[in-house]
Amino acid sequence: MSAILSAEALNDFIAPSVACIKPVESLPPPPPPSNDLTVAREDTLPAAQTAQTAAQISLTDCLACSGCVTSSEAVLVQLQSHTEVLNSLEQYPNRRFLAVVSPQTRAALAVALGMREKEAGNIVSRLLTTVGFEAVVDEGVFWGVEHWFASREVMEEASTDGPKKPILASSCPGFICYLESTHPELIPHLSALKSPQAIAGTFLKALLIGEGKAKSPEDVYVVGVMPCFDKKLEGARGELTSSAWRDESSEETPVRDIDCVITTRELLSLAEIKGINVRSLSREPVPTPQLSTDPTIQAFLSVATTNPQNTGTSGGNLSAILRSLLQQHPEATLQIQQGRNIDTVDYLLSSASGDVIAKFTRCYGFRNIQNLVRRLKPTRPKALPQFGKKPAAPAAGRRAVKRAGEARDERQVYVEVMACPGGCTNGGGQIKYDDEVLWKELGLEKWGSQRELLAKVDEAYFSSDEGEKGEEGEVRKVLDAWIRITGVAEEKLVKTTYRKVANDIGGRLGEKEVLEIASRTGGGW
Amino acid sequence: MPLQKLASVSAHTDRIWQCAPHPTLPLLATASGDKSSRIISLLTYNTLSTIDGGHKRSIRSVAWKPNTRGESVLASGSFDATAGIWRRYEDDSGAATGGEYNDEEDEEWRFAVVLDGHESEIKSVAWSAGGSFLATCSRDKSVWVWEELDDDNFETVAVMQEHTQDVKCVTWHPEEILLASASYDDTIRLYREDLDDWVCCTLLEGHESTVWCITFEPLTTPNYDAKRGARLASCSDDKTVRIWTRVGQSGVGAGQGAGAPPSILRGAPVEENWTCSAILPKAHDRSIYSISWSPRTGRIASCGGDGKIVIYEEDKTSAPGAMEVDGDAKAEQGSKAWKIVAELKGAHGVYEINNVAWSKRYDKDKRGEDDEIIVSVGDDGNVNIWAVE
Repeated sequence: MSAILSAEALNDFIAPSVACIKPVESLPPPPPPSNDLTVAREDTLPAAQTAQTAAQISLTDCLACSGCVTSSEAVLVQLQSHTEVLNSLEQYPNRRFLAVVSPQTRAALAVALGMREKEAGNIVSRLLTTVGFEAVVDEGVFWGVEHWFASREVMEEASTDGPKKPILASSCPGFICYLESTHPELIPHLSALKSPQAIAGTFLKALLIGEGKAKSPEDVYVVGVMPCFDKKLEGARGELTSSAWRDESSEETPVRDIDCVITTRELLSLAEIKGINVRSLSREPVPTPQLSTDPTIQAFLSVATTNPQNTGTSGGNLSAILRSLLQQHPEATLQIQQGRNIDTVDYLLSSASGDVIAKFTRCYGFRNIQNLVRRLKPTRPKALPQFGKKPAAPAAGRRAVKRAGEARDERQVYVEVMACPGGCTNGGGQIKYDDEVLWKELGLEKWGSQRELLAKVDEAYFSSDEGEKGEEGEVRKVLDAWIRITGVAEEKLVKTTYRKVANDIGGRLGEKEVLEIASRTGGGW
Repeated sequence: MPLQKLASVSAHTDRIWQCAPHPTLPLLATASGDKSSRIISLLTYNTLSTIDGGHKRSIRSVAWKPNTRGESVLASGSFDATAGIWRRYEDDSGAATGGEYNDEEDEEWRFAVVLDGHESEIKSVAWSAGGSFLATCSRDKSVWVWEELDDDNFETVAVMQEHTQDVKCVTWHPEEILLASASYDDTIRLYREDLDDWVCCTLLEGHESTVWCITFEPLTTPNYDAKRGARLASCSDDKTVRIWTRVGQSGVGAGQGAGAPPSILRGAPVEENWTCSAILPKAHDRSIYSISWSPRTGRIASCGGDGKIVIYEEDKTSAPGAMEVDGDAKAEQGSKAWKIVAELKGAHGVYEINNVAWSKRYDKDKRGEDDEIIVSVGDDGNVNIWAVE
C-alpha cells in the first residue's frame, strides 16, 4: 500500500529491532587459525575476536519475513534509489544500462515541468542517456503484452467454473504484498501474469543475451522508473530473477530481472545530483538504438503502442479484456455501474437477451480492497460462540457468524485491483502536491491539494499522443521472434508465482509476547 | 462535594478497560482483559449477562449503537484486531425491569458480524450520533469508518492513516458527521466526508504526550452554546485536560487562503480551525486515561493512573462567549471558568482507573429523573458506582 509503504512512514511504532528476527543471524565467524585451545579471560580477549560482524539483512529477507513492514522499507529505500543507480553506472561501466519508464511518470513530469507528455518523455530519455543509459524503453509497450495474455487468461477461466474466479489483477505490487502476508488464502485468485515491469526485465535481458550483446543477465542492468514505491519490492522478489528463465544447468547466481526501481520523484533527484537542469534539456525525441536485429522487435521497442485514452490510469488490463471480449461477442452489451465512490466501478457484460454474463470490477484504494477481500473470503467455519449466563442451549434461528460485507458475486470474473486511490497516476512515488522543496525548485507554488494535482496529472496522462495502433496479432509476432532469438519459453516470460508470507496480523503471537513487545516500545495500551 | 459509593460490582477477574452506559436502557456494558464483556443492570447493580467467545484477546472497547428499536446493538473492539457486532432483542419491559429477562430465549446475545481488516489491536470503537457509521481505531495507526448498508452488511467506507502512532480513541460529534481521533503521537485529528472520500480536516496540537481520551460536549449541557457548537474535551499522559473550540463556522474553509481562487475541483472546503480554549485545573499526578462530559450538568469527570476521580464544573458567567476574545487571552479566561468541585483519591484502592462515565441514575434511591451517577472501572476488575452529593 503506498500510503503505508512510503519512505515517510519510516519511524514505526514497532521498532524493527524488536520485531525483526533476522539480525540474530550474524555472519559466521571466520574459522580459527589453529586448533590450539587457549583459555582467556574476557578482558584479555583481543578486540578483533569479540567484535561481532554486522548483521546483513537484505530486502529479500524482509520480504520473506514481513515481521515488520518498516525494516523492509528502510532496506528498500537504501538498496534501490537514484544514488544506487548512479553508483552502479560508475561501478560497472561495461554493463548495458536500460531504463523502462512508466507512462504515469511521464504524465507527472509533464505537469511538473509544464510541457506536453510526449516532451516530458523525451526529456526523460535525454536525461537517462546523458547519464549513461544505452536505451530508454516505454513501459507501455509491455502493457500490450500483458493485455494479450490477460484477455486469454480471463477467457479461459470464464469458460470454466474454476476456483480462480474472479481473477485479481497482479500488476500492483502493494496489493500482492498485502495479499501474501494478510490474506494468503486468496492467492489462488491472483492472475498468474507478471506485471509489465517484470515482463520488461525478462524480455530485455534475455533479448540482449540472445542477440549476443550480453553474456549473462548480470551484463544488463535494467532500471524501472515507476510511479510507485512498492515496485521496488516487486523488483526484489526472488521469483523475478534470472533463475526463473535461465538454463537450469547454468550455475550463475540469480540476478534480478529489474535491477533497481526508482520513483518519478527520485528521477528528479537524480538529475539534481548530476547537476542537470531537466528543463534545459532538448525536447526532441531520442532515437532508440538498435536493441534487436529483428525488425519486429526493434519496432516494438521503439514505438509507444499504448493508447491511454482506452486504458484507465493503471495499465488498462480491464479495458483491454473488455474490448477483446466485446470483439468476440459483438452481440453483447456493456453496462457501467458506478459504485459507492469513484474508485469502485462495475462493468456488466450482458448477452443479447439481457442476462448479465460477466462482471468486471475496478477496485482501487485500500478501503475498497477491504470490501473486496471480505467478500472473497470463505465464511467463517467456526461454531457460534457461547453466550449468556449459562451455557446456551441450541436455539432456533441461529446463524453462522457473518463476516462484514460478505456477499460473493458468482458472475464476477475479473477485478482490476490497485492499492492507490485513483490508481497508478496517483502512485506513492509520484510528485506530491505539498513537496515544497521540489515545487520551489521548479519555481512553482505547491498545490492546494493532492486532488487538484492529480486532476492535472490525469489530464496529461489522458492527453498523451495516441500510440501507433499495433496490428492485430502484433504481440504474437513479437513474442514469436523473441522466443526464436532467446530460446526462452513464453511461460517463463509472462508468468510468475506467489507465496504465503507468515506474520502476526490478527494476534497469532501469544498475548504475553505482544505485551512484551508493546512495553518495550513504550506503547502499552 | 463528596462522592458517595453506591455500589461496587466485582465484574471481572481481569482489568476492565472501559464501560458504556446504554443510551436509553438501565444497562452498562464493560470491556475487559478477560476477553469478555458483561452487561450490568443500573437498576439493581447486578450482572445480567456475559458476552464472550467472540474475541481471542482482550476486549478493549465497547459502544452501544444509538437509535435502535426493539433491539440492543453493542459493538466491541478487541486486541485480536477485530470488532464485533452483538445483538439482543429488547422489548419495552426491558426499561422497566432493568434488563431482567423473562424469557430465556430472549436473553441471548447474538454475535452477528465480525469486522476484520485492522492489522493490529483495536483500541476504541464509536458509533456516529445517528448510528449510521461505526468508527474503529488501532495500534496499526489507522482510523476506519464502517457503514451498515443493510442488516449486518458492513462496508469499509474510509481508512485514514494520518496519525504517525498508535490511535487510542475515536469519538463522533453529537450532531454533525464529524469524527475525532486521539493518538500516541500526542495529537488529535478531526475528519469529515469530502466528496466521496473522508479527509482529515483539522490537526489539534498542544498536548505534550499521548492523548488518551476525547469526548465532545453533549448538546444538552447547561453551558452549551449553539452558536459556538459542541466543544471537544481531551485528556492526556501530560496530566492535563484541554477544551477545544471551533473558530469560525464549519465548512467556511478557515484553512484556505482568502485569496485562493475558487475551484470546482476542490469542492466545498473542509478544513476547520479549532483552538484550545481552556486547560482545566491540574489535579492528577499521573496519566489521565479517561474523561466524561455530563449531558445533564455539564460537569466533566476525569480519572487516571493515580487512582483519582476528579470532577470539574464550568462557571457560565465567567466563561468566554463564542467569539468575544481570541487566542491566549481567551484560553486563559476559559481556563479560569473551570473549578474542581470534587476529588476522590483511591477510588479503586491501589489500582489504576481506566475509564469513567456519567450515566442517568436508575436505582430505587434516585432523586428525581435528572439524578445522575458516575461509573468507574479499573485494573481491579471492579465497576464502582458513585453518586455526587
